[in-house]
Amino acid sequence: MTAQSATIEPAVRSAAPRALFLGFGTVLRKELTEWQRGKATVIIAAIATATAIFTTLIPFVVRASGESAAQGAPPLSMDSTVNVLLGWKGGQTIAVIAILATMALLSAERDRGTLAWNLTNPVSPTSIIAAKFIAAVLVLGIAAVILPLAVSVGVATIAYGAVPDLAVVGRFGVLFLALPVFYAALTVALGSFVKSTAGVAGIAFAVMFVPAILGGLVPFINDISPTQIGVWALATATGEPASSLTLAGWAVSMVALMVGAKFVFDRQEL
Amino acid sequence: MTNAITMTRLTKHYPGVEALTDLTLEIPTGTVFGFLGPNGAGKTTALKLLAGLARPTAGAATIAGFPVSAAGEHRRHLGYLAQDPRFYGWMSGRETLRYVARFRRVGPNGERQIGDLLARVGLADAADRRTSTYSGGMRQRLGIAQAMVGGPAVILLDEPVSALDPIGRKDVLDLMRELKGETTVFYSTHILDDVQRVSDHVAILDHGRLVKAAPTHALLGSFTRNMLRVELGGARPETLDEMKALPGVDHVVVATRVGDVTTFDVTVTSGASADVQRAVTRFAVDAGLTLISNSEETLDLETVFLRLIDQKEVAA
Repeated sequence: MTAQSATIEPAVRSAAPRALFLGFGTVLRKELTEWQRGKATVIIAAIATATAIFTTLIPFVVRASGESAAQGAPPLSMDSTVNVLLGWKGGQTIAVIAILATMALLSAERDRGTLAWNLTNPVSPTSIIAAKFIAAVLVLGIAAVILPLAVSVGVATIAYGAVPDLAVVGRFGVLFLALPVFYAALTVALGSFVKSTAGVAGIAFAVMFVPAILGGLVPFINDISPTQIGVWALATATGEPASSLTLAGWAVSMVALMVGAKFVFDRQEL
Repeated sequence: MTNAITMTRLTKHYPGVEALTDLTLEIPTGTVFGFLGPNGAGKTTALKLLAGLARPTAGAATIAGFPVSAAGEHRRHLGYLAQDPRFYGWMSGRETLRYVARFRRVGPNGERQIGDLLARVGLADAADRRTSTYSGGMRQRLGIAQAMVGGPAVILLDEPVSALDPIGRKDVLDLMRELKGETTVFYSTHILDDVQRVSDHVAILDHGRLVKAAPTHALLGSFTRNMLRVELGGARPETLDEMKALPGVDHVVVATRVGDVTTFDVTVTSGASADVQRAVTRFAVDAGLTLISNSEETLDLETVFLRLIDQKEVAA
C-alpha cells in the first residue's frame, strides 16, 4: 500500500547483469545518421581531399612553373607514390580536422539536453561514448583519410604518368587511421568531463602542439608521443626506421583515454 | 497489489543542499500517482534518481522490481518525460519515437504503435516535421508519447502540463486518466487542481522530506471529517450560541455573512456528523430559519496541501 512504510525492505531483489553495451547499436545508428544528414561529413571530405590534391600536385606545379630551377632548390621527386604521401607526413591537417569535427560530440548533447534524454532510455553510458567514438572514427577514416588518399592516387597517376605503389599507399592509409582514432578518443574522453566545447578544443590542441614543441628539446618525447603516430605510420609504410615506442605510446594512451572516459562518464550526473 | 516503484530511504545530498532525505515510498501498480510539492521540494531530484540520471547518496529504488542503477537495465521498464523535454532537432517526431522504440525493442507492430501514439497526443499532422520546428507544447506532447513507446510498466512525468496551454493541459490530463490501469504513472506537479482531477494517490514532499502519502480521497477525507458547513437564512446574533448548544457540536464560527445569509463552520464530535446534521435541520425548522445547506465541509487539495505544509513548518 502507498504510505510511509514502517518496514524497510531491501530494494535490490536481484543483481541485474551489467549490460555494458546496452543500446549500443541504436545509438551508433543514430550517430551515423546524424553525420550523414549534417554538413560536417561533406566539409571534412572536401577540406581533406582538397588538401591531399594540393600537396600531391605541389611538385608538379613547381616543375611546370619552373620555380624550382630558378631558385636553385634541390630537384623535387616526380615519383607518384612519394607525392601522394607528401602532405601526410606530420598529419597536422587531419589532426586539426579531427579535433574540430569531434570537439562538440558530447558537450553539444549536454547543452541541448539530449544527453540526459538518451540516458533515460535503456542505454548504458558506455554505449553512448563508444558509439560516438566509433561513428566519428568511421566518418573521419572514410572522409578524411581513405577518400583523399584514393583521389590523390588518381590525381598522381594523371599528373606524374604512373600509378603509385598501391601496397605502400594502402598500408599507409590503414596505419594512418591511428591518428584520427587517437584524436577522436581524446575529444570524446575530454567531453566526458569538460563541459564546454571550447574547453575540449583547447585541451585537445594543447595535446597536439605541446608534445611537438617539447619534442624539439627532448627527442624522446617525440618517440613516445601518440601525436607522432602519423609520422610513425608513414615511416612504417615506406619501410623507413620507425620507433616502436610511438606505437606503444599510442596504445597506452588509447587504453588510458577509453578507461578514463568510461570511468568518468559512468559517474556523471545530468 | 504489487508495487511498480519502491523507494527505500532514498537520499540525495549535494554539498550544502539536502535535496532529498530518507524518502520511503511505494507506488502501487496501475495507479496515477501525483507527487506534490513546492518548488525546490525535491520532486525532480527524486524522479532523476528513479531514471538513473543522478546517483543517490544513500538508499535504493526499484522500477518494476528491477534495481535502479546507472547501467540502465531498469529503463527497459520505464518511460520518462523531463521537465523541459529536448529531442534531436534533425529528427522528425516519428523518427524520435522510432529511435526510442529501437531502444525498447518494440516488436513488428512498432510502426502502428508509433502512429497510434502520435495520434493519441495530437501530433499526427506534425509527425513528419523536424522537431526543431515544434513549439514547447508540441515537444511536451512528443515527450509524453516517447515515454509511452513500448508500453513501459512505469511512466515518470516531471511537470507534464507546466508548459501547456489550457487545451493542451486538458488533453494531457485526459490522457493520463486514460492510462490508469494500463500502466503506472508517477508524476510531479505543483498544480494541485490537476492532482485532484487525475490522481488516485498523492504524496506531498517539502524540503526534501515526505510529508504525507495516501490515496487522494483518503487524504482529502482526513481533513473533511468532523466539519460541517451550514448556511442559514434569517439567522440572528443569538443563533451562534444556540447552535453551539446542539448535542455533538464542539465549536461553531461564522464563516461569512452576506445579506440575510450566514454561513457557519461547525466542528462536531468525532463520528457525530450525521446526528449533528439532523439536529441542525430540526433546529432550523424550530427556530423558523431557512436552511440553505447543511453538508460536510469538503476541502480542496490546495487547502489540504497548505495545511500539511504549515503543520510541518510549525512542527519544525
